Amino acid sequence: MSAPDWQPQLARLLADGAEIEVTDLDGTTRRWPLARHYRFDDDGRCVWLRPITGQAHRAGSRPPAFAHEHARRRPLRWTAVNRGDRRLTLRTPARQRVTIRTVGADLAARLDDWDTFVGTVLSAAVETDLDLLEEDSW
Amino acid sequence: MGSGGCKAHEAFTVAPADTVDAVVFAANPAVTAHPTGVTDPAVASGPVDALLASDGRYVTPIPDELPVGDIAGYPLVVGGHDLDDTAVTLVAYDGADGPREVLYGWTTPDADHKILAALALDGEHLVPTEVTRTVQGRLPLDEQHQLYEQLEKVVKSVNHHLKAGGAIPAHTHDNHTKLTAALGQLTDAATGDELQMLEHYQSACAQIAERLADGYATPYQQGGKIGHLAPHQVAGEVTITEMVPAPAEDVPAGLLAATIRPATRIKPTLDPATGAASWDGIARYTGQTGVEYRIDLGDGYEAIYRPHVAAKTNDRISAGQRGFLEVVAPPGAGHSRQLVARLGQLHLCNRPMTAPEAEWTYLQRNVWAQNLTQHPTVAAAAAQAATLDDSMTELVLAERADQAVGLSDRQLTRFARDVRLEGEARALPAKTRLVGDAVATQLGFADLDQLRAQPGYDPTPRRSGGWHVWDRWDVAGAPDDVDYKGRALYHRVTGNNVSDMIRNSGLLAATERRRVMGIKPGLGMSETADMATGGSRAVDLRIGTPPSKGPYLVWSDPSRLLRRADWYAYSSDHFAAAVDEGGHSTKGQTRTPAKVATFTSGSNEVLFRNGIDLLSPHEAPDRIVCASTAQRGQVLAALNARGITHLAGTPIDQAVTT
Repeated sequence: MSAPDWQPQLARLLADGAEIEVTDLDGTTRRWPLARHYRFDDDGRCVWLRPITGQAHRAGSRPPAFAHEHARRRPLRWTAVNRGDRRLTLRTPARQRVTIRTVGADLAARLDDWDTFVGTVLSAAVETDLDLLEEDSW
Repeated sequence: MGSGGCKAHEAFTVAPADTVDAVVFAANPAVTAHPTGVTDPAVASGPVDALLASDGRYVTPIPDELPVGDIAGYPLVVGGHDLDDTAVTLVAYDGADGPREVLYGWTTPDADHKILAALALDGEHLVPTEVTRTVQGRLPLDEQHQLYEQLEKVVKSVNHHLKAGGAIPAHTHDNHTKLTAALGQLTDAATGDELQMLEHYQSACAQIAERLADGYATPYQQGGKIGHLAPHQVAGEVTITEMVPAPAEDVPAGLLAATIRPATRIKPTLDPATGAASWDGIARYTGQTGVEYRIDLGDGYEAIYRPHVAAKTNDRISAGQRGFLEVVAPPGAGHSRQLVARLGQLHLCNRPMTAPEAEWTYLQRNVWAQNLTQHPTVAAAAAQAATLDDSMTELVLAERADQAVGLSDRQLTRFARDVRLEGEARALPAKTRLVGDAVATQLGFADLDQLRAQPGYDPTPRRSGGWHVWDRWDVAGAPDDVDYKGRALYHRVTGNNVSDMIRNSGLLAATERRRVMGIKPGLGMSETADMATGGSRAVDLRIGTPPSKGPYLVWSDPSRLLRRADWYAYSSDHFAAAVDEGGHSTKGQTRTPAKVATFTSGSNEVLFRNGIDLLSPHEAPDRIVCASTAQRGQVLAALNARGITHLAGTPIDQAVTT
């Protein structure tokens, strides 16, 4: 499966901790931290990502708990990309602006909780399935 | 998506228990207002007439008995506008003292204020009271020294570096050494619970030590990953203040005593071999998001309700859980009718849906599914229909005004309800005709009668597992109209969940449905995490060429599922339309089969409300592609155990492959 030339930058961003911000044509904006994995598809025109949602308890509670089936894989189809320092900005076919950048301080705790949840709560088998980014249900 | 527009609040008062049947089975004027004009069932023909002739009153009659232990439950299509999808589910859990029967459903947002208005919840009727609760918690020694936190940090690092295949850094070794020493020192003086806790953590440290040793070579996915270690917890009692109902004599007549408490969920036990569900009537998952009302309905019945709008709290209730209502019966069987009737105490419509209502609902579902409101004539007819209930109600009130003289408050409430019901019943045929004629002419037919004569027109909802679905007449009547170019609908399942699904319920159910049924998503998930968040109310499939490697469920003919009136789809041109918890944006959404047929990338989504019945002739996949021979054996065994010999007409040994 081919990948675009910005794939290494995406990999670095995710490895260091990243968030995704989506702005629709009507100005609606949403943000989520991103799980560390990704997968390109459709000859590189689509990248599967996992926005982190479904935190079961308040951030900081131990152990962190997520309903991982809530944090579903999402396809990001892109038509154009703009590369910046510590940032990738892409356009979708629906003309949304999607920015992947270093995770902000307000979302970093959720990402850290997710990493802890994956690394210490989930079994290796479920973790592997998450990494594949192929599931439709659990 | 519901069955009608906003309705003014009406109080539905349930008669005393000995006349409950009279409330439920009172002659319903709507039955006699036959939309087609046919009054003799003997000459009935066509789906509409067959619907009316089949029962004469309700689309899904209330059953006398419920299947005990069946987590899918018995779906009931209800009248009125208070329940989402016009549906509730009746479940009978197995129990030591006999079945525990429960009714559940999701209310529409408009129904929220009706229920809250029935409750004695203001400051006059709730009093603060100190209560003692048993909770699980960590020991003070653990929290003081942050022992679990230290352990978690080391485990996280070890697992991370084992997975990456790199060396475990020196600081992780140091942290492990420091923690081991600290646990040893604390152990010297510890006894009882503290000693147990320390030994629990020392055992984990020993596992870590194995991985830190030179030469450790067990692969991460084959036992190398250190498994989940929960913090050591003990049960303790805490004293908290709760707002509890004032003494009963202080609750005004007509209101129900209620308590606000942190949200919970029924916690059934599922038999791993048979999937049968049991419940003791008490066990509930705690730690949920938001609050709920626990409502005393009298005679051993209670209701648990999660409002759409949280009251007196800033806690956010996830979308999938909002409006969730349970009505719980006392132990024993045979409470179905009472469970439905008790909805009236909450001012909700408390009867099954009538046949004329079914056609009205069918029209509305198809108008939504086929995007017909985009046409001005249909939109205008729908707007006019929304005013007919009020107009008819005024007419009925004018006819009966003299009957209201001298009535008590409770009698007046019932009088008003009956007037409203009569008004709605009288308006129904006119509404159906008005909107139906507009839809028909928009589609090129002379009128609704011509549309009714089309092969795909069938207003009878059909059962799909634990819910009902209506079909779209455009797909049901002409399934071959759209060329899907050999592409199939498919759904990838992880782990062993295919055989689990078949064994537990035979349903590919949406996550919120599965949580309500008590089904956990799979291995590696803690119960608390699993049940604390709201899930989605839809399952998503994709259209395309399924990858060759399973496990996949496959529907080679998409029209078999796309005939349902409750699906919607995204091409994936629009990122994250469906990320919001429990809800879906309409941006980029389509409900047009021809458009779905043009989806070319494998990243599309086709979502079905509630889920899909994997074992029914209408909805079963025609192929189950398994990841291995062993998995195929498990799936075949699960199908055999349920007596399933064919899937979509194909023998299972041909339909289930690797």
